[in-house]
Amino acid sequence: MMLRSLLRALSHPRVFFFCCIWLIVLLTVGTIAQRDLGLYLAQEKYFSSWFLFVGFLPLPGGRLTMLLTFINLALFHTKKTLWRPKKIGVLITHFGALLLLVGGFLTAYFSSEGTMVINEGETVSFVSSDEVKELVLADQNHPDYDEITAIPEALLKVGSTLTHPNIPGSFEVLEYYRNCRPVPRKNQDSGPYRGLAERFELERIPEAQERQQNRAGIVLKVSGIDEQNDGIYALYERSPMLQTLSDGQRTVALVLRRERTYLPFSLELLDFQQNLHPGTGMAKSYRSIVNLHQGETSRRVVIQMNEPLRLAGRTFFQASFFKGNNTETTVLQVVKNYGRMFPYISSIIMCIGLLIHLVIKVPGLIAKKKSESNA
Amino acid sequence: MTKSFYDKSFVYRRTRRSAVGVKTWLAVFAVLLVVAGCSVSLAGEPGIAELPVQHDGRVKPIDTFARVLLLSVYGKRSLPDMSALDWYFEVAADKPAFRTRPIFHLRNPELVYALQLPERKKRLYTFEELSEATLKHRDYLHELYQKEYEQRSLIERQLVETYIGQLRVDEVRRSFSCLLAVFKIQNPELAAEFDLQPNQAASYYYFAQRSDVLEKVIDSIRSKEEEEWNARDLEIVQLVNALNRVRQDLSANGAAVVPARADSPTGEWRSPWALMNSPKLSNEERQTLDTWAAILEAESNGRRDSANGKVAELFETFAANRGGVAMDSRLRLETWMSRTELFYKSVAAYIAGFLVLGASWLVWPNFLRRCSLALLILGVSLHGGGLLVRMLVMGRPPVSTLYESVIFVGFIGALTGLIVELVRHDGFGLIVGNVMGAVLHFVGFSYAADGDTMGMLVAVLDSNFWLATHVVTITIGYGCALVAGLVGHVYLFRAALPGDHRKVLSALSRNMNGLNLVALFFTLFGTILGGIWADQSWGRFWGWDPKENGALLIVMWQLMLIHGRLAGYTGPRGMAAGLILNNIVVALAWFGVNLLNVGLHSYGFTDSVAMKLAAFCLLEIALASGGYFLARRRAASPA
Repeated sequence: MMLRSLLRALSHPRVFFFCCIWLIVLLTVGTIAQRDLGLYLAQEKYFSSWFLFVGFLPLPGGRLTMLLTFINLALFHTKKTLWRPKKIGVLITHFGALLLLVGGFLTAYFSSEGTMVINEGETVSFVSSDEVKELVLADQNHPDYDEITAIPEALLKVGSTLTHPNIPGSFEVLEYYRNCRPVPRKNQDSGPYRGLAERFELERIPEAQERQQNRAGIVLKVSGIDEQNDGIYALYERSPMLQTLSDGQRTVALVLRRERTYLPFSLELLDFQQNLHPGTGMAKSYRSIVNLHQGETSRRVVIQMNEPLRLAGRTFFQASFFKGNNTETTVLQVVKNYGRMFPYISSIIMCIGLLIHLVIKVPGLIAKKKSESNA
Repeated sequence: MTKSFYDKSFVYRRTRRSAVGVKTWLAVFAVLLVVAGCSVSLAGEPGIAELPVQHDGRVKPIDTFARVLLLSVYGKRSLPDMSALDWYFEVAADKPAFRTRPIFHLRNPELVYALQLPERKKRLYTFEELSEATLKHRDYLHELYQKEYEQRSLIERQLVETYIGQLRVDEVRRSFSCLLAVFKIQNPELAAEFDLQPNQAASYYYFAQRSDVLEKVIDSIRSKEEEEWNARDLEIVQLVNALNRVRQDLSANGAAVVPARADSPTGEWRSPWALMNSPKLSNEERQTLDTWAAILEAESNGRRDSANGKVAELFETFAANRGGVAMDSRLRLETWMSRTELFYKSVAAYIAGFLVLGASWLVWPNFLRRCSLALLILGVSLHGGGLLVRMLVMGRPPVSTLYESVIFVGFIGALTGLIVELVRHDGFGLIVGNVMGAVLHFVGFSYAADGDTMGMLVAVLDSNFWLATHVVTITIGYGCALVAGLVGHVYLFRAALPGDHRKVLSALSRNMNGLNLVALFFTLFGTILGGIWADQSWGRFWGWDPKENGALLIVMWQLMLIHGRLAGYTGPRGMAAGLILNNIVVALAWFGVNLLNVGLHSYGFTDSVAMKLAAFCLLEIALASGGYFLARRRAASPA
């Protein structure tokens, strides 16, 4: 009984009305906050969060508000009064909106974004995640290849201890930073320090406006090898210094980097082209001409603005580029999204629904007199 | 009681029926006018206005270039007593009058003090005065020029702007100096060697073409001592010195009038000086330079007819070199467009339409209202015609820059007003149409003052189906939302007036709901199409970018109004106030997000927009809240 009345209350348009007002507030505040926080952080704080803390006060974040909207919308379809020919447009439109939210949910939880950076002439077969890092152990004892052991970020929790046949000794995670910088070491209390940590320590800094500017960092305590190798190590992303461990049989390099996903094919950058509007410095178009190697075969592909390459569930977009003295480097944005088709489908459905509703309603609403519309 | 345009007595069935006939004819007439004007201008020979020049990445008629250049230094597209084109050729031909014509308008008295110019009421200065002043302060100006734009203060920005303006005008003058016939040879013998009559004027270009003869002539005096020089030898030395003086302009690159060769990798057109060192000119290049030299010659002698007469042949050469593809039709269309100034005419029609409508509330209601309708139809035709011509000239959809979106929304507003009027016949649509058309035209003009309104687009905005549909849809949505907001104003205004308006108000209330629904349709799909475009281009449907948030904000606001009504929270008064406030949301989403200057969409930043925007928001808040409370008091008190 209680459940029924709760459901009825949740299906009322006033729920949507208030959700709407709250979303308007969130949107306004979040958009203005983007000026200071940057796009990504503001998005995390206001739009993709369940709760938004103002001091101690937890306020509903964008995701919670949208979940509420979703429930309201879904329950709305159970109303008997809606299933009438006159309301068909309303029904279809709301169903389309429901699908749009489902698509948003799928995208929020199951999509992944990464980049593929290729120098001219190089062949690359992996995507680096924009978000997730990994700790990599590169066993350098093989003459013509390195044996790579990657530890995903999810396992690098502060306080956890990592052991594995491929890991020399055992690792204890002391610190993990999403963004940090190396500073000269001040405290010496809990040594011994090895490698970079001998002279530097990592300092946590606020996350940068652009995700790519962040340097993740990790402090590890290595034990169980020997006197020379046991100790505290500090690693951070894009560090110029290569740190190694050695347990007598093998030498292992430690690297913290963006998580790599290897693809069943590879791309070779043949040429990167940038065309300007004649006589100006203004770009007219960018394009990467790549060779797509798949198994034994390869084919020439052009990736350019508004014309991505879609392959194996992933889409490769021309995102950026670098120009060196005599090399060119292309940056492709790689996106995998299961919810991709939802906006397309739901917009068609909503379009049809609203059109039907407009055709039913609007002549009466525009006309001057009610009687004219009924005639 | 005040007379109102909703009163029944204003509508006669008979006049309505006869009005249809009049309207139809007027519409046909207006369309014919536009078409006729178009075809008249495209018939006949092209003139010097249509000469092509490449600038800012596109080939445009020299007329457009001249207008934009004059706009940047003088602040207007023409001088009081001469057109931009005439002025341009005065500069190009380096007529003495050009140096003493006041064409530089300094925007700020502080500039006058800083440059130590004589103080004048209108702050207009000649080329001579300004070049002297900038020369005196050259080091300081160069220092300012080195600074980053953000580091310069307002006055420093304007100083740099003024300096660059002067340099650009000078650059045009210098770019053509090699084509001006200013060298004369008196010695008959020497003249004959260059195929010239004694005292016949020739240009640097003429001698550059005969460089072998020139070499030979110079060689002939190399071996002689200075004391042995005769009159001919002296004249050679004078000639070479004079040529060298003009040669200082070699770097001038301010008039890319010579088409790129077919094999040019960049497609970059070149200024005359760039060809002076070329050993071998193509037929097209030679013809272009010859024609320009002849035109400048004719211009400096004040013979415009003769100058115009040389253009058609040049276009034939261009066409022949491009496999018969004529180049002049777009150029002519553009020149015609800037000459006729369709948008100035349409704004005049809207304003006149509004005034006539106002008059109709006082006298001759039916006749004047029909006149007002005719003016609205004329305005919409001219406005739509102007948009169409722009589309033809640019070969792209009607909206891709902020300026274009403003003009397009004005068109949609005026068109919506017209449709409403044709359904209702009571003058209400006339208010909406004329006001929307006129106001947004003025907003557009302030953007047009920045320069060429047909600039090229950055890579991502270039040619994309989704972008075209997205931008057009969302701007139609903006237009409809503004129309709905206008109805909101009218509703509150009526509700606050004394008297019994229940019938009118209930009709208006339905109008508001209807228009809001239509607006929602377009803003919603515009927003979703934008997401789809983003998905196509960047791989994400939604990225919480300010522009996207702004569009979503409008949608949410409209949804809130609709569902607030369904939930029983807002009555018609609240709806009206909400729609007025929606205007603020639209304005902020449209112009405001560009002020935030973050994200992928910030392409149209302007300095003074913020103030105007704030004023608009305050005005709308005052109108919405004031109207709401007055209307509520009126409703509470028995009439």
